[in-house]
Amino acid sequence: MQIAIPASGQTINDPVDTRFGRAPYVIIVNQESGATTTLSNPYAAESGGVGPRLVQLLVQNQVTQLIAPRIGGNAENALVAAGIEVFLFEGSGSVSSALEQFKAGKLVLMIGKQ
Amino acid sequence: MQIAIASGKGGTGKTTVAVNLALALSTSHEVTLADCDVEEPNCHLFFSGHPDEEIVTNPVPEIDTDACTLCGTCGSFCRYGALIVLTDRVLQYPQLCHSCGGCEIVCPTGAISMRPEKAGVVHISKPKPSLSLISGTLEEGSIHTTTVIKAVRRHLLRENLVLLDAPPGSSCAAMETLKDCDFCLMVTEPTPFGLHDLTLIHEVTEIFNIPTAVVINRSDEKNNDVDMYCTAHNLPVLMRIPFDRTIALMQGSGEIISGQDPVWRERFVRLGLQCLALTGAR
Repeated sequence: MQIAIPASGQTINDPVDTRFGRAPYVIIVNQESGATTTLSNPYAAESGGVGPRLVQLLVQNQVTQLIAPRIGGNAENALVAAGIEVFLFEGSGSVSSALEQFKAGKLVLMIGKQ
Repeated sequence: MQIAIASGKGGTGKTTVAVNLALALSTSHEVTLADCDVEEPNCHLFFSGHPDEEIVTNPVPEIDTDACTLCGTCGSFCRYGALIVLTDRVLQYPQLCHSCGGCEIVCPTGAISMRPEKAGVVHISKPKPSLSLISGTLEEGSIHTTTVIKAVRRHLLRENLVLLDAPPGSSCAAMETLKDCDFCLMVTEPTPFGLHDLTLIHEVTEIFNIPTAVVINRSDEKNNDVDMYCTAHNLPVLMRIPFDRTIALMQGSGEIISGQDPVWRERFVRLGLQCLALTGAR
């Protein structure tokens, strides 16, 4: 299982970004091995359609779960179609603290089957 | 002869000026009024009649799911996010498509063809024997303003006196309206916002090398900041419309001032002739 988190920086100690499609980085964590991969978001500065395109990139990277603060309508539609579960992270904090909260079952499932 | 009525800022009185000019000049010229403010066209509110309708479309991709191998080429190619290739299907966002047709070209299996998607409507009517109204309306949710403006423009005859009611702003839609015009009448108001956006639309007219003049709406006094800008840039101020309750009431009830008041009719005729003189025509 691979879980993705939009981030303001390149490491898990950097903050979770408040945007999905325009976050500068996406950190992908393999939940079995704990290995992390940092993707530089190629769409962060594009004019439009960034949300669905980032979902496409997540699909290409075998992501099945996402922790994110806010999701636009187009991205939401793509996430539903791709079958990616989305967990809401409303607070501020680092990627690692968001992951801790996720593992502790404290994040609400926003998109996906209960 | 094409004269755009533009403003930069919204709500300065473009439509008021366009509608009054059109009516006043239609006694001496064959006039076409083109409503290019397709996101919120309102010239038609001042005229009655049953317009003809023309549907405006844009080509968007259609995918033959039997031929599609989900290879992802179109999804990587589309920079607007209109095609998103997932593991089991291609998601389409026709509202994000810019109709470039690139996906059809790059698809290695020929699974993509283009189908028409509605972008808006053009309404064509003739409120008076010497006055035609061509009005564009963007389809709700569509972003293809320039497609609809282009469709309006296709109805405009060079030999007529064409008045184009431009959209507010100075971005793509305003530029699409202005670019082939012979003259631009800039309507503004004596407020910091009016002045700020006047400078923006003035810059656009300079890029297109279109001669310009100014109408100041809701203005009684001279020597405000807008006047100073016009003086500094050699922009003739051809008309001042006062902040007047009678005018506001007439406008608000859908009446055309130059149709009701012979003094204003004469002023708008003179405004039109001054514009024509500044373009070198008559």
